Amino acid sequence: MNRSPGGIGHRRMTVAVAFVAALVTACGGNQATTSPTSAAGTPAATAGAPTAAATATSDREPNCQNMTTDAVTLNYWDDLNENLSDAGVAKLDAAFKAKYPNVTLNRTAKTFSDILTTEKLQASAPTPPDILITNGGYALLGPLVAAGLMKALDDYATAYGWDKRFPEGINRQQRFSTDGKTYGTGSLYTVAPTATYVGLFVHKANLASLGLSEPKTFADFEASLAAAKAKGLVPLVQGVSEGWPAIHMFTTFENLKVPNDQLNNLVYHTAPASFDTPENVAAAAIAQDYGKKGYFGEGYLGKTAQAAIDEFNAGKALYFLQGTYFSAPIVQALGDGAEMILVPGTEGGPFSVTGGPGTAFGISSKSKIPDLAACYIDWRTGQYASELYVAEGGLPAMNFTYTGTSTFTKSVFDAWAKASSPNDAIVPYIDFAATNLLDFMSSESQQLVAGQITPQQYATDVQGQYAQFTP
Amino acid sequence: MTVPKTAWSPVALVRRGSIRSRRALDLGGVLYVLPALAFLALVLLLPVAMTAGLSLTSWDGLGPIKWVGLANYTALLSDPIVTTAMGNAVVMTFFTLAIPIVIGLATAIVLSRITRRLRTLWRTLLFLPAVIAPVVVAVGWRLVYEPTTGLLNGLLGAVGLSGLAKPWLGDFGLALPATGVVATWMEYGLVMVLFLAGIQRISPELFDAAKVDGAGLMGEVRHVTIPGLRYELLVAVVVTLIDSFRNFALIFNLTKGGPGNATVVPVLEVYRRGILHGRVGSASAIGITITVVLVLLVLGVLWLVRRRGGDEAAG
Repeated sequence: MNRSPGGIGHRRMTVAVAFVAALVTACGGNQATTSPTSAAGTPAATAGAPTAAATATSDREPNCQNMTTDAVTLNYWDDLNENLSDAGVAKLDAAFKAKYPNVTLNRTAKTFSDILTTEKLQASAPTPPDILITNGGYALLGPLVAAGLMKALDDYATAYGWDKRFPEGINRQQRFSTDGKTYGTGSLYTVAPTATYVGLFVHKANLASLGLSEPKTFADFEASLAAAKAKGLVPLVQGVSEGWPAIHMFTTFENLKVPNDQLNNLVYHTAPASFDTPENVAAAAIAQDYGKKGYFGEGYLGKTAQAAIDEFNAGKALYFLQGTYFSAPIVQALGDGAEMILVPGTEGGPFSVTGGPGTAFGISSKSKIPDLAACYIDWRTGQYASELYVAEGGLPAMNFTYTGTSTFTKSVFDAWAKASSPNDAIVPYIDFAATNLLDFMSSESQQLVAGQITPQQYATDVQGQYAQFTP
Repeated sequence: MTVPKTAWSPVALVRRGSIRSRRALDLGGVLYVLPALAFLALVLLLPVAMTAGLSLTSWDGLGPIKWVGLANYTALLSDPIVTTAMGNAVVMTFFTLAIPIVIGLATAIVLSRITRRLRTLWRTLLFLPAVIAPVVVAVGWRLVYEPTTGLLNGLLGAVGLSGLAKPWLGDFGLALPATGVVATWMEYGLVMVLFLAGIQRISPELFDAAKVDGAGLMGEVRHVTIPGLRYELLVAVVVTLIDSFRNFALIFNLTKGGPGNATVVPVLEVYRRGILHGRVGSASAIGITITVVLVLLVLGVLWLVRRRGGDEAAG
């Protein structure tokens, strides 16, 4: 599931301009030898030796292979909220243009829900953007691959080292068979700049005021919820009026009740699996129980996620249960006064974490300049871009060692490392399992936590919807 | 102010009975409207025909299109979400049609009895909600209804009624009426202006005659105002009826159909299925169904009025 952080969206939406793709000035795609200029603007002394240039240049500037010298326009889609800030992107684009002045970069930044609603139409248009940004799994990437609209990136992955840059757990979630039917194996179709996972934002001062420390077991966790409630704090503040955030009120407990292989089977369709199991019902029952106990706060069904974050930042709650895609507004307000942890599992019970690549860049199969597109993707997902993103409190998709001083950012990295190793406990967002699941589970989960349907009914309904989908 | 007899307006059109009379086909006239007709066919009839075609298929929006006949329509009959959406649409009709007509009539009567300068001022102010874009209206009202920081709960708290504070758009029982109130707020202005123009057109002698006959305010309203507004009422009913099915922008931006499916309406379900779920066939079937239902309802209203008109003419 994902994210279209309402508040962040509003904030940036007010300043962001969606650039209209207008100019496609050249056919491009020609294999002319390079004549790049360095970032400082002086002509590089290389001719026809891009690989040599690769070793010579630093990771502070892009390093394209098979770079064209024609004047070309690269039209690319970007995620407005979940990625680097506009200022960060502008910095990267300026560096790209400084080295390759023949390239015009044309950015269109979209919110997550905008991506969901317009991607299929745009990708199937006669002249789609060269770079698309897309949601993963069968939710969106699968149908696009099946329709032959995405370019397989395996050659570029080898050329630019993407197979080593990212953990295989991240790359796996971006692989599809060329017919779009089998998920998790086959060719790489997208490359994500960021990773996200669902966890627990902790208000450290409030936890300390309860005389408690970070919960290590599920029993500790539940005890902290009860203690918070008794003291008048909102234990697990939520705001799910936008729909999708409600899904994680279920999946968080599904991760602690349903064995990992079953969850993977549900998403990857590798073996028969069902939502209508006692474990899923048990997970749904926890979510409903917390709803009945008032753990999610007042009026959480009529509130946006941003409103819940505002309450959390104002010190009215102990935890905020959502993913790292909401880090920015929290770290801006609380800094190291907050930290990210994982909801602990029960002793000996299943344990997994919902997470994976954020919205990811892919290349349209109709693009006439795929080499340039691949180079730009490389630039946007590499070391320098990741450093900028980390400085903003984000979690990059690539293997990255955090050396900074922010205890909040360190907690985000630590929890991610804990989820990833030694046994990879990351499972994909559950809505990746089928095209029709995200929207359906949004309204269904709202009904579950509000006690409108029983946990069993929830499991039956979700399974009914899931069963309608065949890869 | 009176409406000139030659002016074209829906009201005048109905009054003159042009809708009824089928004049002999004037070929020259047909030539004049041909460009407009061609344009209409391109932007309206063709898409409707394509949607009707798609409603007989199964298609995810990208892959191959499969013919399924009437299966999408038969599936709608037993689809609980469609049933909920249709039920909600009926409730929304109450808020978009019935209440605005009552409020519109009442305000029009009051405005027709105050001085011209005040009337102009109030008419402008009261009409404002009708001209604001639905997206802006929805964003504004979301702030009003917000559970913790919203204006409404804040006001209730300020007057010591915090016990009545509710998560208006997050409550399964209240979300639809709360949405309906916004729809009413958006709709009554149009009805009011329509009625006000109608009242000003009614001959003052009729009111004077009613007064001479000893009619009070209610008597005037009942025997002069309402009968005089029959055609305005027809237009108001048709317009608000259509609007009560075309509330996508409001619902999408206010509640997205939530919580659960508490505020789902048919047009929202068209969007969800067609764009989000990859079920273009089913979405098209709902779209065609809404169109047919709406056309039948409007024809029904016109038929009713025409029959009444016929009775009166005969009597």
